[in-house]
Amino acid sequence: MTIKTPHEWSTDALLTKAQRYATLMLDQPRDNWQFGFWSALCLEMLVRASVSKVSTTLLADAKDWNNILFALGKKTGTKLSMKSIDISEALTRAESLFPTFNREMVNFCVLHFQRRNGELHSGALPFDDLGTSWLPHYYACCETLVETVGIPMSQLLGAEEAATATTLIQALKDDAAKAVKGTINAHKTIWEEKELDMRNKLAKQAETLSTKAAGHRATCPACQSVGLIHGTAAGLESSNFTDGMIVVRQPMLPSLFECNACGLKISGFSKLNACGLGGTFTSTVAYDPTDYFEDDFHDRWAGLSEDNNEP
Amino acid sequence: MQILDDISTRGFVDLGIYEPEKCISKIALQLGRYLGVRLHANFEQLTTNSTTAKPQNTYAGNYGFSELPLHTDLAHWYVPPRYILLRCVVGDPEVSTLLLHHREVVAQFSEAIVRRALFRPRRRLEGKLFLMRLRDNGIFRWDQLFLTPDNHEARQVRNLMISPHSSFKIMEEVTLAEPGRTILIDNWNTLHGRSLVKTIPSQRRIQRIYFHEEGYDD
Repeated sequence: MTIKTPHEWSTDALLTKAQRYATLMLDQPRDNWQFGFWSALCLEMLVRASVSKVSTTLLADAKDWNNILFALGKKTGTKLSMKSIDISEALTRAESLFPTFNREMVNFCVLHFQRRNGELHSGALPFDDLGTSWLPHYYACCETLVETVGIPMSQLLGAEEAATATTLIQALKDDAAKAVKGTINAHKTIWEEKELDMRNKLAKQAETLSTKAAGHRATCPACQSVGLIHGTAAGLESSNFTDGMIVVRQPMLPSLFECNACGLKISGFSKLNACGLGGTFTSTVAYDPTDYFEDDFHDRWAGLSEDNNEP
Repeated sequence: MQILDDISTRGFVDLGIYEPEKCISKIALQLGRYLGVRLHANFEQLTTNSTTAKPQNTYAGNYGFSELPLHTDLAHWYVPPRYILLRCVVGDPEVSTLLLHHREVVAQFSEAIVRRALFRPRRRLEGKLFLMRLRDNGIFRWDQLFLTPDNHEARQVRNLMISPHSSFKIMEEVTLAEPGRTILIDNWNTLHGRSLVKTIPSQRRIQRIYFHEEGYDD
């Protein structure tokens, strides 16, 4: 079969469009509303390109099977315009598919796309007077997304702006590191001012409360007690049958640390990573096979009377 | 092995006067099996006419007896044919086929320009317009007529490509003068062109067949 045109949901088509929007963005002065506006359009193309890299079918709105057929490159019936998933759904899928595209980045994208919606669907001026404090977070998202599709930032932004982006991303990491260091030091100071007996009591309580069922146990960087890391699913889960139970293992990316002893709370992957708590961990849950396959049983036998040999 | 070596290093292979008693379709089937590619369609017979004799959507309709500029065939397709087989039926010893490996072109630019240059077909194809890179996924494309530059980097490429050939140090020439003289061009890596046709009217007839890469996935 000859391929004269790219599929409009293909990674290639979306990436070239992202590059076009990036060029338009960079043609604007940074304090012009259009700088932010084109940046949002570029970011949407990158999110979609990353999902499409796994499969174009993941961009199809599955409510109508014709959309899936279209994504597969087949001719469809009479439907003229094929529908892809909303950007919010694309973000959810990208977060599930790519562990490096973490919750912090998704949250930034949600905010930026809300601005885009405000610009397109109302009389509001969400990109006016926005400044550029959002740019380091924006470039961090772009860098992660272009890595998922295997292109360098310089291809999207040009060499000069890619270098600027690298500087801004590094500065963001440095800022996160400074902020979290300050928080840890403050909690450490307060902790060390407590009486030894009180510290021992609080540490013991924290150890009791920090069960594996409640989260992933980790040493608190401020008081060295046992704290808990909570995370979001990052990657595919695996399951196997062990000792009569279905054991499900899910890789998790940290999103929050809490210490019940000194009260330290660190939220957001970049800050957790900056203080050494950013490593992925595995959530392990054991299920009774009846509970695990409950839905299958219901589907199979639901609505039927007891078995009998009545002809 | 020599065919593959030449294709890899020069971007084309000159098969000389190759089995002149056989028709191009049989030769093409043989070569297709050897290279693991499939034929696009039956062969076409290329003749040289004035511009008024052919439509404007063809090179002939635009260039006639003039030089055909360096290009890759069907560069405006997202996936152009992989190989082109050209075989002389009636030759003209004064007309040369020019061949240039794309590495000589990209050497003139920074990697950034090569990566970022975006083009689109000059007109809709299957009802669509779309952007394509100068080189991507193993495919190099160039056509100054059928491709329109879409950004600054692409315009820089175009400016070089429409300047005189002397910009390129290594260019090869093959004269398809004798019946059965055959060349196979790697259309994803090598540009080709044609020199001026001085003898008018021209009796020159060249057969052409395209091959497509199997299983190319977009």
